[in-house]
Amino acid sequence: MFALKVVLSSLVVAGTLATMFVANPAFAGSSLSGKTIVIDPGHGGHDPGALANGIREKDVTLAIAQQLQGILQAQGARVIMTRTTDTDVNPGASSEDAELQARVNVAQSAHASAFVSVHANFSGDPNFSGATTYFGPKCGYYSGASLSPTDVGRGYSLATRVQAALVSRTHEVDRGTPAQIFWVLGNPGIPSILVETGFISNKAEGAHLTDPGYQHVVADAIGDGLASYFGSGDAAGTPAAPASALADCSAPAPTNEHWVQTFLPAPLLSGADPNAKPFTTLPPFFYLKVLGQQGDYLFVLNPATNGPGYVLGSRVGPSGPPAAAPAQSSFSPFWVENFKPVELWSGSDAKAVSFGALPAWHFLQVVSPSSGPRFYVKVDNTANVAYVDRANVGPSGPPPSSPVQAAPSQFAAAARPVAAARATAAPPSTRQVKVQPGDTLFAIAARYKSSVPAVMALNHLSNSNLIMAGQTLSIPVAA
Amino acid sequence: MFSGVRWVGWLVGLLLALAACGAPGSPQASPAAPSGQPAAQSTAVSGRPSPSSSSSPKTAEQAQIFFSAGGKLVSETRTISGGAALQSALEALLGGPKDPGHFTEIPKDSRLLGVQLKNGVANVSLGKEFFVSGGSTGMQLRLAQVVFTLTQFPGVNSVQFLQEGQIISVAGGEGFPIGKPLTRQSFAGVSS
Repeated sequence: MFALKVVLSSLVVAGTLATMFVANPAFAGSSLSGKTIVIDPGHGGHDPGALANGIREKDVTLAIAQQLQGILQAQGARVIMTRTTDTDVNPGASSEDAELQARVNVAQSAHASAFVSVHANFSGDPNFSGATTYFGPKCGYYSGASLSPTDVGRGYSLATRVQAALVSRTHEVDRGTPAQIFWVLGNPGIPSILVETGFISNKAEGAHLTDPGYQHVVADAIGDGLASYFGSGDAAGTPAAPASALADCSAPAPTNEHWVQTFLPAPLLSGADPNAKPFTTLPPFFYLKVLGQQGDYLFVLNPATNGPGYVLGSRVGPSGPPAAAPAQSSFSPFWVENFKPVELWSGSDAKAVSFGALPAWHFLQVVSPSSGPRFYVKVDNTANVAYVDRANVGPSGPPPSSPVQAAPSQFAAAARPVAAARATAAPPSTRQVKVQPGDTLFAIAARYKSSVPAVMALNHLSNSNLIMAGQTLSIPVAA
Repeated sequence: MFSGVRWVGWLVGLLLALAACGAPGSPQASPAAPSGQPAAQSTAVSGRPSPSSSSSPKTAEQAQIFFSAGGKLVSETRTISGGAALQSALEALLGGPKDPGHFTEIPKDSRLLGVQLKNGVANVSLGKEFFVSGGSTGMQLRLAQVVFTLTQFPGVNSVQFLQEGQIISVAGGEGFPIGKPLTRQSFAGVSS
């Protein structure tokens, strides 16, 4: 079987050469005539590529590339090889990226019509085999390269044509034409492909790939694919490409900050073991920035104090960073009032946690645009921000005492229930309350018929979860 | 404050209660792992494996270790040490598959130099031999084996590869980019 294939391949060689020289002495019939094509034999020099079954990938890629060079030249193409011997393309390169970029640079400085990187594949699974031709998607290259939709479409057209010819001529398993951000495919303005000609880790395929006759069939198929591409309208047109290859790359950037929230009271510990002493006990829904992990414990930063500590991982759940105002553009803040009690939420989505309830009739300033079901608001002229359900608020004007002219005492006035604030602009009477162990701001506010935001405003608190036993708070007295 | 022993006992009880209620944000308590050999169970990849908490107060837990077969990822269930889950899972990964139908794309004698979780990124330092060229399919699977094995643990969002402690821009002569943290989405081609 194998011997027969070699013989057939040799016949193909002889046939092709004869046809070309007899029928097309001036290459007039070939779409490749006059095209500049850069062939990049994968790996070489210090990098042998994959190694399997006594085969070095760099030898296979060079042999196929050299056969391809002859085939393309015979059809009138101008061929530039990134390497013609077992060498690095950029021998002085201190890193792999400089070596790969040198190959891209060959194509760029030649203003090439196409770039073909020839490779042989490998898998730890010795049974796996087949051919793959990659083209480059729009973005995601570590080099920072970015391809136009036309570049992507032309690369895709070239890849599908080469892959079809390769599979049809070699009868290899068709592993498709995926888009992938390999360095050499970030080659703006030049349709570029990376051809995986077969698996040297597969015994049968490896034996084929080291056979000059089979190498010629592979090279001839790649040449056919190139000729088909340049003979089509795609080479000068704007062929379509899969949507996934044209998608923007900015979205999936991994977050650098990792936040969790306590969902139960959680001791903030001095160490990562059961004998560690608690510094304090954090209330539920407390944001913590995670700096690291040690066994069952997370090493965290308490954003309120900027102090580090440890919490047991089982006391916290995943979270985003604390609610921060979304970026403002040309948005004008406006005022609403809640006509019924509303929950103050930490976020705009289903994962948000409630900070507590706000009684009816508070002035809420919507401070950023939102298309979702929740408004992002400043509460009662304080620095406190939260999300409220849009359905529970109605349009309103600014509070009676304009925030711009307001003296500090009037800030407190605006923080009272609307009815009282409207009745009098004078500072409200307050009472002093000492925080008892176990008290929460919510409980204290409820006890004196006030609200959490009002107490926070009067006492200049920025975090409703941070009150200390023994601390004295001013509480507004309801009118 | 609680004494150490009482506190831990109370926590364990609370954890179990929470797991039973399915409280949001609470990690599931792992079933007690049997000692001895891991189950020879293997599963094809379908999304994220059931979370096996690295923060469970157990000394051993079960984790999925990812290998290669037929150009895709496959996984084997292994018992690992709960106290140092990431390190333990990587050691199981470097040890290779048990199922004769599974293979690994990780070069033999690859050395694990360290793993550290920082801001949701698992920083994995490996010896130079891990980063040698290995075919475009093998290289994607090799990196994916590590990324899928580590990102099953709560708090690990992505993986930054380090060659002997240093960030390098690409893995091998295929030019797959590893200069930035990789997620499961980086390997759509080999994971489904």
